[in-house]
Amino acid sequence: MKKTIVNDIDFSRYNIKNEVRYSYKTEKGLSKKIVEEISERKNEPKWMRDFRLKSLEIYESKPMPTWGVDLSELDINSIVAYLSPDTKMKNSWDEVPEDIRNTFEKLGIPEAEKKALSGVGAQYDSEVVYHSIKDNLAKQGVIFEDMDTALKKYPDIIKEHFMTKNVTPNDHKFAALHGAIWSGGTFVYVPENVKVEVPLQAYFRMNAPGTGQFEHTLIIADRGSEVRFIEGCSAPQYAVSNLHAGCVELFVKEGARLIYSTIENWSKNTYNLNTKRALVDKDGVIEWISGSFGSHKTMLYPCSVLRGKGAKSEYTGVTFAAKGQHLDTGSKMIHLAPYTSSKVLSKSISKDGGITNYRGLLKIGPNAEGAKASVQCEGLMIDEISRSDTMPIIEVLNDNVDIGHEAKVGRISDEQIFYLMTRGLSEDEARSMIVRGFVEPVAKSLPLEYAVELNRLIKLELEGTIG
Amino acid sequence: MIKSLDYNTIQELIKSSGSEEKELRVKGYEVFSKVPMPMWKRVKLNDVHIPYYKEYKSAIIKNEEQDGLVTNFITKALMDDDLNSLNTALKRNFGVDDKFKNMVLAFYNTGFSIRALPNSNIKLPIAVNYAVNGDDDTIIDLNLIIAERASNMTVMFDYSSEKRGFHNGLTVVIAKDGSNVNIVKIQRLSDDSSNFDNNIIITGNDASVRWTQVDLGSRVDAYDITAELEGTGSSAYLNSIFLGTKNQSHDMSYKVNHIAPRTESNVDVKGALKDTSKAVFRGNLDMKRGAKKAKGNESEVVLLLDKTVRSDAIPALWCSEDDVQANHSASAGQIDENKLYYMMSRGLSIDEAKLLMVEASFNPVIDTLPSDTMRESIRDYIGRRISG
Repeated sequence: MKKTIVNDIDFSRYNIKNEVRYSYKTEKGLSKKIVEEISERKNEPKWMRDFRLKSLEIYESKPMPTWGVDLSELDINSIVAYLSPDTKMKNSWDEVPEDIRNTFEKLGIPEAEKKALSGVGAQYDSEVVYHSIKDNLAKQGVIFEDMDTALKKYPDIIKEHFMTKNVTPNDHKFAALHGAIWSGGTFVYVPENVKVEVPLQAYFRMNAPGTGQFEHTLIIADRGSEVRFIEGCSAPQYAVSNLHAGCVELFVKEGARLIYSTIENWSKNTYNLNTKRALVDKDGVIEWISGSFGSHKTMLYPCSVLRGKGAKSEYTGVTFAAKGQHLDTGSKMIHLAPYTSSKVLSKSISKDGGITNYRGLLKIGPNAEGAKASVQCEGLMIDEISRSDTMPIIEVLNDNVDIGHEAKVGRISDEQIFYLMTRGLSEDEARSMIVRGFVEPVAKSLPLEYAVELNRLIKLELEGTIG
Repeated sequence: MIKSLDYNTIQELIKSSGSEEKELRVKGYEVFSKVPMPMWKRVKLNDVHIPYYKEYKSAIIKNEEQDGLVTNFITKALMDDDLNSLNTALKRNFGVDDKFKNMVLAFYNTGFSIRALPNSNIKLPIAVNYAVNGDDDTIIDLNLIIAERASNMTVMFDYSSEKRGFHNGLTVVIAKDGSNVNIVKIQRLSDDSSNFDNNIIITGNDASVRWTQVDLGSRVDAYDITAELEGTGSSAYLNSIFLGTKNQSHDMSYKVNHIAPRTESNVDVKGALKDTSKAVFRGNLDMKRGAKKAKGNESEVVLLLDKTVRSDAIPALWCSEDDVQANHSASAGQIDENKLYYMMSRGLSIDEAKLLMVEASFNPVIDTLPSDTMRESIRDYIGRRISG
């Protein structure tokens, strides 16, 4: 019996390698000196430097995680923590150095900005090289800045929110690592009742081999506001390991709504150990949309803390693991207040020995009266050498709840193919339709441009005969 | 004289025993003495007292004299065959924890070896009762159930007590080609007892094992049932009901490893939690590479009767074979208000209405128990626990 063939994602357009020109980079590895150097170079206030050093201490005191993906090959001491490209941040694409601009152009960033975005930030290795926001939004008081600038312009807000009450360096080893050597990233503030109709985007690009990217994203959606944020990530393929340990902190205030979409496309030498968390107040809504396609190994579990009455969270994710990839993803839903609700839909595809693992936590606290939660996980295995595992943890400390979890794993069934063929489709069309149908709930929740991107990522070439 | 669970006691136990028993106990003790007492995150073992070694003489077996059936007290003589079967089973990974599993191997004080001969059809259910009785309050049982080719049998275990007791057991079920085995385990030890149970099922070609677990008693309760579906076309159906009341903690683990092609499994757990009780359900459904056309299902439904309960579920699904069907689900919630309202409008009190709903959930499992008196006594017991 022939198997369905699903092609690897075509990474060629992400695989642009530029000559590494930098104005400054730190030594490999991690030390107090390096952390001080980064802080010095960025001309940071003392509290931030102290915070970095404190985080470094925490990092050193914590053991490597022993669960999830195998991290034994990740050598932090061979990673360059900070590498600043040979350019200053620009507000116009024309001023961005040509090779960097070309890279982003090939990735379609300026084009997308013209057509479909309210603002764009582009980070190249450790620093943001381009940033812009539409005037009308700026006039309404929307702040969209790169993190280093924000630290200078809005020190009070940053000091209050930066890794203090959302993600903290104490959470786990890689959060501490991030706290010590973070660089770049985005700060967004949406004032009360302002609705940002068109999405904001940040694009993160690692160009240099053997480096790490540690961008920090902080978004505050004030009462009754609405905003959509998209992040894209990619890097060319190198033989040495790259490390991405970003951190995303989201604050969704009363009645606000934040949609956070990620299309992650790191090259297959990247360790993607990312931390994302949203604190959601009364009647606030957080929606996570997550497409994980790249990286060598990923551990990523966006967390929603539903702490206000009636707060809501949705997580929609698709994970595609091909040869040599181990993608351990999932979501954490923590219900702390009454009438909170959450919904998880996770789809994973594994092929050519790729491993996908859904790892989730659903926790209903004692005060979460009337909470509702559902988790649905589906795995599609394309061949018999791959793996698809599901590992959800459900903790309920309240009786007045309605929760459900469902998961299934399987392959494209011959019955489905047969049925579609009786309806006049060729077998290839049938298979392709089933796979598209499988990821459709995710594709549907992306803006059009990104849905097209998703379809391109899952470029399916199907062949086969009836099994 | 008090006998601790130490090497002196082992020496004493094996003084007059055969080489098979010596081997088993000494090996078990080696691991037991090395492994620390586990620290569990979800069910705390603080209230568990590690017992002293004691004899246990209250085990009762019924219907043991039937054609085609060979039964033995495992403490009287451990046969060569038994040791071989045990060693086959002990190569696998199963049990609540190495500490408890090896405690049984080193210090077992009761247990039976039950063997159905090839092609035999054992009509009456074999009933094994382990009750806490006077000073006989420490039950460390090792049970070996072997269904030879194409045999049929039912074995029912009943663990009960009125006063504080300690139970830690290990049961091996080997269902050879074409056999059908039906196992029932009922656990209703008193509210201050501790219960640990380590179980493994190994199936041959086309063998089928049905396991019904009725888990009602003990303050701290942890059990594991592992099924190794090694024979092509073999199956395991694990049905369980549990009831948590007062401050009970139940930690229930089900592992099904689909190893051979066309194997089938279904884990179906139904439970209810009341007062400040706590339950952890761990389901591991593992479709190994090569288990083509295997089907596995795992589901847990918990009724939450009080605000103060805690229910955890980890229904994991592992899959490295594409040609399979595997599903799992878990749900938890309180009894539908409309249903309660309807029943109360018909004159039932809220407790009666709740009891009726729990019974409705449990009955499909209780109905499969092999004796009328057993069914009645379980229903009574559940009724008392929920209303009381």
